[in-house]
Amino acid sequence: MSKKRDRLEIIHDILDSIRKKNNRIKPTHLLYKSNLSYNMMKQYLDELMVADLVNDGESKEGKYYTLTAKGFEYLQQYQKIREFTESFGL
Amino acid sequence: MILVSVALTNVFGIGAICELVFAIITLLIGIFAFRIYRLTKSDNYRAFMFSFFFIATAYLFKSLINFLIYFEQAKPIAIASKLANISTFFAYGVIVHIVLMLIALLLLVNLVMKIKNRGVFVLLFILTFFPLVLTWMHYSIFYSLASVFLFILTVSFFKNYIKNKNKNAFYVGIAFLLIFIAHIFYILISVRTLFFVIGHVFEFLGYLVLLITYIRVLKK
Repeated sequence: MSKKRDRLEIIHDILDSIRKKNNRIKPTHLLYKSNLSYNMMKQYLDELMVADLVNDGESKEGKYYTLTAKGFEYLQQYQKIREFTESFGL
Repeated sequence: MILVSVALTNVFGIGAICELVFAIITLLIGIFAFRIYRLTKSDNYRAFMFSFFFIATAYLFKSLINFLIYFEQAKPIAIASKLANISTFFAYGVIVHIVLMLIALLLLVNLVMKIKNRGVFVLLFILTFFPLVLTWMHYSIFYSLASVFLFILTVSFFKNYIKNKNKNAFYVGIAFLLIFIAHIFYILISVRTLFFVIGHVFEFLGYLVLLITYIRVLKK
């Protein structure tokens, strides 16, 4: 049985999914890639937008999400953040 | 008498250098926590960041006081009035150090024990500072209270290591254990001045382990 993902890991997975889709992903794709319920995904995306890690936009094809510079920085720093969090049990 | 005076002067000098090192290490950790907070906007990192900034400021104050005493006592003729000014400054400096340090430790305990209720935090805050207001033995009470908090933190960090099996978590536990032992020696300073030196050795080792852990995290 796989281990339950924690908050940091879920955020990483969401951001990584956006990055892997050339930094532009539709909500339906993100829902599938992030492996979350619709409500959970919406909650996380709202938090990520408040934290300025993700931006949303509208095009002819509908709504999409992109990473901000801070979002890319989070992905870069993820291992360090993870290690720091585990070291101090935060 | 002269020997004792020279020894005490050296103690203040060593203490000042040690505390400056502690301030730098805790400041580095605080800055790193701030960088994570900036990215995650998590309340945990905000509390952690503030507690380490408070610890750094507390040590900076103590270092400054000890440096001042060291340089004044090292002069061949210490002017009495100047020494009186320094002792007033020393008293205020000690109070600032104690208050900042206890707030920092309280924040950390609040964080590791996952106390969400603000009322409980306020109660702990009052219970912490109440004995300090009532007594003139500020240092003994402060080190006793700090020891209790450090003991809780040490146990909590070792529990975290058992849960995560992370090597750095083990180092954090060791670091806080050493700092806790140092504070036990500080409680006994009034018995023998030597405990001040032994305490500083343990505290220095504790912060050194914390610095090593910080460097290991950065290497990830």
